[in-house]
Amino acid sequence: MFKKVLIANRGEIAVRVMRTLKEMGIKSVAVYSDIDRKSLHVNVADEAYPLGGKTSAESYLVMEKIIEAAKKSGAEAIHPGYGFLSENEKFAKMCEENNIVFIGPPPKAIVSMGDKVTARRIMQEAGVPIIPGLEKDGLSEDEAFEFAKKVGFPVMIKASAGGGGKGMRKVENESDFSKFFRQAKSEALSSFGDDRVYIEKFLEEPRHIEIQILGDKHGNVIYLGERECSVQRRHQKVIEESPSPFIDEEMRRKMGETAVKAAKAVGYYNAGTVEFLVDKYKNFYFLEMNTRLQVEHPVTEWVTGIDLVEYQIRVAAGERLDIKQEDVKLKGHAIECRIYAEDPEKNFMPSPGKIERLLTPSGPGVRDDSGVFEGAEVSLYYDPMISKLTVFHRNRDMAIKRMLRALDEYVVAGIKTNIDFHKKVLTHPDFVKGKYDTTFIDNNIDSLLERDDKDRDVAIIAALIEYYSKEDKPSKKPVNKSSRWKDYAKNCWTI
Amino acid sequence: MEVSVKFGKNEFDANIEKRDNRFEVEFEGKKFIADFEPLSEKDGNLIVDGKSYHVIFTNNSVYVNGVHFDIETIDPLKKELLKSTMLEKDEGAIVTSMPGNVKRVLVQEGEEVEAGQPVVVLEAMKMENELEAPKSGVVKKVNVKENTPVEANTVLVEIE
Repeated sequence: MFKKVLIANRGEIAVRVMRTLKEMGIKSVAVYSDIDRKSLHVNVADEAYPLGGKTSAESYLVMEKIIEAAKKSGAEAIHPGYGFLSENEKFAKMCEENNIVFIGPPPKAIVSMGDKVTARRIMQEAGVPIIPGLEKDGLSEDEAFEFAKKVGFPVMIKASAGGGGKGMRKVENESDFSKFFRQAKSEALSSFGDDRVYIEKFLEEPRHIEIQILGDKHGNVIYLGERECSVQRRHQKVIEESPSPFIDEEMRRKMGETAVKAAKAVGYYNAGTVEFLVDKYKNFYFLEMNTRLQVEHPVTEWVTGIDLVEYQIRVAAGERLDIKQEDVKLKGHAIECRIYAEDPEKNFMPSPGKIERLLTPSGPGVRDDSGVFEGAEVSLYYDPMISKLTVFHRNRDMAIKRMLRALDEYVVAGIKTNIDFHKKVLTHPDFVKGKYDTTFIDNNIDSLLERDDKDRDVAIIAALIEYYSKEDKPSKKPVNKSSRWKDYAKNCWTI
Repeated sequence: MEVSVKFGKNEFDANIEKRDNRFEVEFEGKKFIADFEPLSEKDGNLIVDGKSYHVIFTNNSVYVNGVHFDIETIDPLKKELLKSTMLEKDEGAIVTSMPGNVKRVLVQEGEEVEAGQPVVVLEAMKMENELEAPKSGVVKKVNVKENTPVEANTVLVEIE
């Protein structure tokens, strides 16, 4: 087993990986940009090496710097987390060339499955149903537009090298096509350094359901149930749950076996996720494969009792999986809410700044994977996700109630977050019934954004007490002998 | 103590007095007795009508049990003076509430725009955000160039 592992990432996922490393008796090495000197992951790690730079492009995406830090620290392996270099085949190869183990799939599998266009082709050859689409290198706007007219709107434009909703646009009509096509290309370029996009038909009432797989270097691959990820905004997942309220045992088996077949087709090992779109008739279509650990992996960990990061590390070290498919038993229900630094009332604009006060939930069945602390600065240079709150209970209804309780305990002051928005989703009748698809947020946005002002009077009382306390304090400033009118003019509204 | 309060679009006067460590508060025809216990410089516990609330104060906000409220409080006399000295807020200004990078400017000076039309694409936290025209009119001034960083509260585009 490894003695030291470097985590080529930041924030909550770096901390999450470090926790498992500690439990396994493995030393953890952090890397950090100039902005992240005070970040939580640096503090939690056993060792830390600076990368310099502010943006991801100047730090976490510079492969040479990461490799150099690994060599300097003597780390035998690198865990890439998610995002950044986690699905970068060049980086996986560079690790190999430097005798460092990349904790992830083989580079060949990253190429095959990481590139959405190639992945669709492989799946088609393997007989897995795929959504009608057009993918080719150098796809022009005109070609894409012709295809869209042929299959009919709405269509989806997606980054070939993409994921996480970046470089992805749904186009409802002809007049929006040009604008969204260009936006998707430009976002793909800035997010992945690759502006290739492809286009596909948008399924009506689609649900996004994904299968978690785990494989070793000895050809064993198992699936660990599914995650329902249909609560999305701008193609970014907001809430995930496992199991899905939509699928039954038989469908789970079919999807799971298809996912395993897909993984074996490319010689896959380590943790991976096969994403499917499921229509209302329970037909499922291959969407894409994520060749890395997913943000939402904790819900699978809750219901299977398996630490996915631990198995990623064991598999990377060459161990055989000690879990067989028949050993995998799903138990209870888990939900995840992604806590974003954003302002739902202002079109979900990111909200960077200082976390003035932070109270995180705990208690039975609650897990908060956080990358921040009270006093931390949420930087505008990185992703706005500050934590992942997950809960577990014996059934879905109880899990929803537990999540609402946990969200009530969660207080982040100083920046705006989507905590209240989550409460609105979790109490929406359609969500409670499990009857929702990927259009849920868009279709219910007005009711989900309604403010809860039941404690308005209490807030006003509090503001008045704060004002009174400030005014009541004898001023420490020297008495200003000039006209008070000037002071009044300088003042503005304050609490 | 007389205080002017602004909450959302509502402005009203309130009165607050302290007696025996309790606050007597009155506004909008309602009276409250509040027991406040500070827990730190930033927060405290408030008991009103037997109900217990955790309140947090930040620079310009109050949080009650985690729910955020923007409430402005001011001396009524200062408010009157401010009214007479402050310039009218320009409703045609497109202001960024956060720092970021101007990815694209979608309009030119002299161009006619509709309310809600995207005007500037601002990139921050790895996402592109479209800023829309607050009203219909003509673009009077474009103050930013593409691919340049901007600070929070910068007036990017002015529409008249």
